[in-house]
Amino acid sequence: MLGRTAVSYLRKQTQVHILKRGFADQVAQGSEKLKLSFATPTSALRKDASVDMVVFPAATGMMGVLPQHVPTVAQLKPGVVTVIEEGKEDKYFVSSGFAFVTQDRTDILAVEAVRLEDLDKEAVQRGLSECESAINSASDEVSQAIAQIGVEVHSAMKSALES
Amino acid sequence: MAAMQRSFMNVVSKSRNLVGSNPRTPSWSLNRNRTADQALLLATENNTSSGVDFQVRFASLKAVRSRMRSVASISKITKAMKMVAAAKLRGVQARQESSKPFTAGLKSFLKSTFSEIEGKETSGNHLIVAVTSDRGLCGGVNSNVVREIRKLLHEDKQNQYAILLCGDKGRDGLQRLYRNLFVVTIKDVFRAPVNFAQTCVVAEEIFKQKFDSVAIFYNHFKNAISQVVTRKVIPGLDIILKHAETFDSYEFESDMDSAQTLTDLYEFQFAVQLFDALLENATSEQAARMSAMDNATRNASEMYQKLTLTYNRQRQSVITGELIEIISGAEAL
Amino acid sequence: MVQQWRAAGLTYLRYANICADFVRKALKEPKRTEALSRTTFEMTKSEWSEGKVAKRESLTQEAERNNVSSSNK
Repeated sequence: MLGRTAVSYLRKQTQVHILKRGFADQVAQGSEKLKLSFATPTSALRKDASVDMVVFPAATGMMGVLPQHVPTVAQLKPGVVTVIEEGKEDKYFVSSGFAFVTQDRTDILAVEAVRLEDLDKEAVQRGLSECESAINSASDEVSQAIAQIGVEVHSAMKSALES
Repeated sequence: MAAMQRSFMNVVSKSRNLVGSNPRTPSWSLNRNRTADQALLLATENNTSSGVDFQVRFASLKAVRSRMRSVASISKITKAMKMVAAAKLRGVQARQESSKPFTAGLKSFLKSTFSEIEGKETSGNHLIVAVTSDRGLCGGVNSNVVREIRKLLHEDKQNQYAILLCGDKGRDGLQRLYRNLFVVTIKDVFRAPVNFAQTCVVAEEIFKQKFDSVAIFYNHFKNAISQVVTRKVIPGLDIILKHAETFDSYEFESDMDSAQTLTDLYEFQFAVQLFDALLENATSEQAARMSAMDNATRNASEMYQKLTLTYNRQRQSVITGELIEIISGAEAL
Repeated sequence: MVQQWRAAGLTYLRYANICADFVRKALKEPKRTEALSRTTFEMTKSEWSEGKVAKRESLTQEAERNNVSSSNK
């Protein structure tokens, strides 16, 4: 049914959302692939690729999508998108965006997506501290909101690099 | 002979009046002196026989030569512009290809939701977003957009319209008749490659306006020779919220209530669709400029060849005339 | 109940671009410079009223980025 890596991956992610599937009994054994497009405004990380599974950071928690998923629109929050192909995992950190899931395909539209190895650990820590102190010293609502966003994004980057 | 002299002088004087007479066409424009060229060609053709004034013949030789020089330099400019446009087209086309999965990712979702709602409400306040370039010499792309907008405004007398313009050419084309409908004009949109952050700023300017629906007019890039004016209609946020049940076939994963989620989604899809329109228009602009400059270069070289033939014929008739005069002068002695 | 940034007057687009910019700034060089320069812009906006230009304003990424970083000081 699911590949071995996918199953062990799910076991690791204790916050994985309940997988919602329709027509579960009709899923073929291991031959069913998910059609995935995962793109930013400037680059296509996956274009109509056939993958086993994709996991992305929905606002309600990490969400795993297998073929034949119910139609879903997920608002993304800063976090890690994992594409599972041929048993291998490919990870990207996304800033925000939306994911559109239908029976036939999944489209993940992120405003920015970077590889984890391209993130600078010290810069993330520095940014997190700066934003945390900015919340206290903020002079108006807008600056405070921006600082809060900064804390959210930097915390997510920090935990992505640590896991 | 007097009659021939009179008709020749008519043609030459007409051509003199046309040279540099029209202040609006720029000095490097090929259109400016087309009638003057034809007058010159006619005049010199009529002179190949006999007895027309010696000085007038020399004057037309000089005129033809200077005309040839200006046509040659124009063709150099248009050829350079064509190569620049071709290089820019390659760049922007590559960027558009990379962005396709992003802009296309929404399409099936929008088809089953927004497009359904769009058909239901057609009256009210409409905002027209005109996407044009800032610079000209790009064929029909800007005039096509302006024409479609004019057609819409002329035909629809019931609804209220306001116009938001990206690009100076749209402003120039519409301001004579419709300047009272202008709300915002934005310049230098296409100066640097279009990016998503920039598109979001333009989208926010649009959101500041009140409207029931938005119609974006831009040029869809089919290929290097074909760019088609397209109208993209996006209903306003209030209309979308009013028909929120259209989204019932989708589950929403969000930590906010449905109105909030729909609002966030609305703003996002708007920016993605606007990004698509701006990219397509940028590509269309370069393609149209490349093909317009290509045509101009071809026209200029045709004109140069015609002028060369005329020049040679005229030069030979001058020499023949001189010989005849020398010989008849010698005989008189 | 709305998001804090929505209550402060920001749109989702502004939120999304602020998030994206934070991620870009945390990149290692040279990807950081490339990503930041890829997302700059400089436009001029004119607001019209009754057929005439009422106000002119420049819209630049530099200004946006300065707003964000000044709030971090």
